[in-house]
Amino acid sequence: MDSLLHDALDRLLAAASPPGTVREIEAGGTPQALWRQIVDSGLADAMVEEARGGGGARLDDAFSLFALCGRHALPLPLAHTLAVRSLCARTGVEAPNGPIAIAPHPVASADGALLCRHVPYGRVAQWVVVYQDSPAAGAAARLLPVGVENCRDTGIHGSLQAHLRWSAPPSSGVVLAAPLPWLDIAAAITAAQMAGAMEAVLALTLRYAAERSQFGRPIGSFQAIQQQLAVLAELSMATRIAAELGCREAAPGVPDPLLAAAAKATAAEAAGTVASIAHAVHAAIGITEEYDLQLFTRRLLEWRTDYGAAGFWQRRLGDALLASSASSTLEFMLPALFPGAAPGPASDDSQPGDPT
Amino acid sequence: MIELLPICGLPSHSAALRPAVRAFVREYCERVPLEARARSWMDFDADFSRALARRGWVGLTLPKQYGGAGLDAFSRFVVIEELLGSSAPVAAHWIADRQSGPLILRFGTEAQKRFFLPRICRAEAFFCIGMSEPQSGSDLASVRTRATRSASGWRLNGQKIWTTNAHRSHYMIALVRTSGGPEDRHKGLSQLIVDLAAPGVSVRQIRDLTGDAHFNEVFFDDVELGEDALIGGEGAGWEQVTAELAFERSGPERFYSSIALFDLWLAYLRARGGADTATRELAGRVLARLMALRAMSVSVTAMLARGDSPVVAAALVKDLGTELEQFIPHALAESLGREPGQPIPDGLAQALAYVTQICPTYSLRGGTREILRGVIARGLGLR
Repeated sequence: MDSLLHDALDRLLAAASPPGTVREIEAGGTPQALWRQIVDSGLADAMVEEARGGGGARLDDAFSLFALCGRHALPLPLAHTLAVRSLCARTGVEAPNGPIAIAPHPVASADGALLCRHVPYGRVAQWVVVYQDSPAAGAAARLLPVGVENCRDTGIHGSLQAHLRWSAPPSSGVVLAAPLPWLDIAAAITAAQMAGAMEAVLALTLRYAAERSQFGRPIGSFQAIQQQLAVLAELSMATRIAAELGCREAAPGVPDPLLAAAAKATAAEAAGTVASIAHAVHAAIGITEEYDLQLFTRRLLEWRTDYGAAGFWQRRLGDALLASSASSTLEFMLPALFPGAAPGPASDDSQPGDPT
Repeated sequence: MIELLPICGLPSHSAALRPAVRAFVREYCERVPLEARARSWMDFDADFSRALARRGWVGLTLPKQYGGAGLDAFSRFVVIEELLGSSAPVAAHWIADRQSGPLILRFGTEAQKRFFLPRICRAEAFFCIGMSEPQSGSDLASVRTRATRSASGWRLNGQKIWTTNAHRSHYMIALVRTSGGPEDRHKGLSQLIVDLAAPGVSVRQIRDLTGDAHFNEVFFDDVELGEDALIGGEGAGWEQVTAELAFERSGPERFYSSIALFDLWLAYLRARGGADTATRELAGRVLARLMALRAMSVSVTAMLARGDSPVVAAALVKDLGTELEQFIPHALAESLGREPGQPIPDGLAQALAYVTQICPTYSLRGGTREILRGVIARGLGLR
């Protein structure tokens, strides 16, 4: 099931969102035609339960869809929209049409305005989930419509982020009463997108190292380059497996908080090195507008800090580890990060996805 | 491209082993404090190995007919993870359990299997690895130790070095030249099982910078070995060694080597209370990296269990894993030294010093970092 959805989305994005389209939308072009193609494919409801007419993908399955959004540098919050639409459906809320972003850390200002700074995909979203940040209990949230009047450019070249501002607490929008850990959800999605973007970076860099010749041979035949590419592959693989674990469902549509933390921590820690190596191997061509590498490295470096950089998530993990009375790291790690692996009832052979 | 590492679980029959192993290890840990376990899998305790063997946990992937438990790679993963997670002293049986036993099972004659495997499973036959020589480190194919045909079998001359625990092992599986010369590279190499008690074998310990002496030089001076010393095919030594290294590179011993130190540090922080931001982040940073490594290692274990030889994926796990093992002591030293007035408990300071000193070996043993990255580059199609 999940591989059918994966293949369908891969084909769709390859056709509908090639690098040229990504550049046009980043330059201010409208994403409406691209969004229309996604909606027409039915894939925007990939995570809605089958009984409600969706694709029935669990969060675990959706990992590969999120990763594809990164792999293709999709200039729309499809991954976020998939998750929000499924959570709406589960809680009996009618999700509005259009791409949905998730706003990190909203701030209410003294004059009664509501401000969300640096909202990923804020420029291209029609709706945004705004929640009060209380990660322990989860938070009630609202889906607010995003109009041009709410949207301010961040001044960051090519970025799809926007500052969103409502001068008074908006009375419109859709209430999502069920408390959900929005930050964990967004972190898991972002880590998965980063895993996908790293795959694209690795593929581009390997291709370039094979094609580019200096001193009469491909630069990939030099040990100095090979050693760096090995590190790039290692970090990409580690991010992928951590991000996949980060999409482990703890409740329907909701990731395990510690796994999501480890996923974002891993992806964020790797992102800088991955981007640096890729650019070093590409040399000058890699920083040009016309070469595709920048589409992925700009995203990686932006996503690194979205919804909390490595340190933020490492702190959550560290606090959990330090608060435990386990006699060893292993004793803490197995039940906390590999549910089912700890001593106790044997896990079930029939669950191929069990990470124990 | 290199193999993807799909997430996979440990099947229930292997997970079911965990409680018993954990209880066994805990009993040992109650007698030996954590700071005395910082040597991790370098720590040699024959009694511990024999007690483990009595429970059936040495050579457990070997078939029952040879004294093993007939279990799979997943089961071994669980057992050694519990041992290494508590830094139990497994060095005595480690090499035999990890690679010599499986090698003999795969390439040995029936007589060799009947002789060696039951002894390995009872922790009565300890093995060491005879690969490095004074002039052959990373360039392993250049080995010069030579075995020539004799009337009764083989005559061995040459020298091995950096042979861990040769002075406490019964046998060495040595990579030697049986035909041709160094210019023949991978051709003409074979593996021999050398009885270290045989006349003409002498072993000299090499003391290391921590004060330990686990490394050795081993000299072969007209050592007469029987026909049955040859393991596997004559001239097939290189292929056999390569397969052996996949077993050697992806296991939990490539990311748990510094865990006793890390656990000591956590215990110290918990006792002190009120860790600062950087300290909390460091604890989480190590944990996140451990999680990814463990998931990758289980994934490689699944490939081994299927009978694949995931050479590239194993190299990847080892390189990342040893990097974490080396990151831990340096990061902890920096963290502990941030407040010079704060007293550090002796046990923690000793473990920190030991691991900081010895950790360069973590990315040397089993293939250096640079060699591994070359293996990965080959997997990426670059060479």
